Amino acid sequence: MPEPTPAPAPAPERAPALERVPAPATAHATALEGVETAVVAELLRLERVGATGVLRVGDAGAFHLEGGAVVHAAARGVTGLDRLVVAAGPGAARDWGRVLLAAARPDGDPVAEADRAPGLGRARLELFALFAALDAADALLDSTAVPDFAAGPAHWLAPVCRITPAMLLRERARRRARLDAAWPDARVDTAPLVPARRVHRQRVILTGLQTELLLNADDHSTPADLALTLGRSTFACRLAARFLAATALIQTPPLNDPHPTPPTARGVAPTASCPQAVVPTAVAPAVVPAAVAGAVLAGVPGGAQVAAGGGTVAGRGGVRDAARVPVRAAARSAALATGRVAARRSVAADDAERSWTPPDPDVLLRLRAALEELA
Amino acid sequence: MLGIDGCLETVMEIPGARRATLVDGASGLAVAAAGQDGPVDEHEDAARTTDVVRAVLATPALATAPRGDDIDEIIVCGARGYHLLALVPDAFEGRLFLHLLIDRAEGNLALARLNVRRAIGALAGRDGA
Repeated sequence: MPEPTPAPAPAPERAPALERVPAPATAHATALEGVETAVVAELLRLERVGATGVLRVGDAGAFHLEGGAVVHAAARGVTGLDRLVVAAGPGAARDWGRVLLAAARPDGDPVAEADRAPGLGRARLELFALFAALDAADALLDSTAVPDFAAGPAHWLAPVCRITPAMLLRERARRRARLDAAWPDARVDTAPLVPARRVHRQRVILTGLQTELLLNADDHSTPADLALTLGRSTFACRLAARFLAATALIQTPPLNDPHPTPPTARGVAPTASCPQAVVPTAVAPAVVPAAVAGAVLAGVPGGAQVAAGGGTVAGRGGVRDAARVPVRAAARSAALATGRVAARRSVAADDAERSWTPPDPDVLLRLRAALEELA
Repeated sequence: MLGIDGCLETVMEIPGARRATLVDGASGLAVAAAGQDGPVDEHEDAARTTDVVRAVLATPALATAPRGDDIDEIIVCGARGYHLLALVPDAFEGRLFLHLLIDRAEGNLALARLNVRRAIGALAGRDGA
């Protein structure tokens, strides 16, 4: 039912504590965010009419609806249900194949299949489906694309996962708050994750996921890219990256840098973002996030790192440190560190040579492989 | 096998169980809850207990082996009851845990711990991976 009637203003209402159960068909909306995208308005409208089908959001992804509730969501660049399940272990991966086969057959019962599977189980499927849908919804709800609804049969996950749009909105607000509490600079989410060269503390305690991010960082993957590679939840990786930024274990653009690093500079200019993050930019502090404005040290060489949570200020002498000993972070394997760190250090050491970017070892390797193939 | 709600129901059958909440520690989301309501919003509870879990995990002094180890459960004892924070292992990035409140007079902590482990086994799966 694609009638494009504009949705009336959402009526504020106290949201029930938990809405995994089928919600009553009453008008049901929470005005949590001041600015709502067309996607949000359309979701709330579809909930009111109890629509079943697929809501496509441009080319970013889609919500699958059943009776107005979101039963599945997938978004480009966000770790999806398949990836989460397969990454959970060999048993889960094996059983997942059978579940998908059952979903493809007209007479198949994928949910019962998952229920029987020893490596998967219904509870795990429910959890994976919930986390995957919430992760995807984060990306889709913020999309400015025009949503396009097409009625159709319900997704097979309908009996497993049911999320009302109101819960999606509340969850998005909570997630944002949590990210910002960890580290208020959202650029960390979209910038390539580059481990710091120097750690200014005696010891560091990392969670498993934070360690994985550091070990697998390749200078041009963003936290979301790494989440896809590792088969981890996108939100969890973003949060881990923010924590890493707060503890100054990854390089962050200076807080007063008016030119944020372009998002996902993958493969094109892999190291171009490093000098920007390390070498002090001689610019006036034009854009300063309000939350940390009071604490910013604009003139410190290397850019000031302000950890909002503990109120600690750790100035990193980027240029001076560059000539000294290599990184000693416990979590960094030596093999990973040496080549790249050396290359980066040479960039930071000489401000005049900032226009020259050292060749990326990955690119060189691929070039050699290609040439050898030709020969 | 049981779904999430089924798991929580079995947990609530533990003698003395008052409230059970399955919490996603990454976002502070109370994924599912059963039993009587707490004094504050369960999502607020979830966010606070998440901080507790994270603090314990980040404290080397609370490790039981010299090289550090994985923490299974955190138990908080009050005069009237016990809080059991049982971490669901690996598959969920170590971010999922079950928060169970047990009445001190009616419940038995040792029994509850055994039963909670069993219920969590269904959530974590037995992949061996």
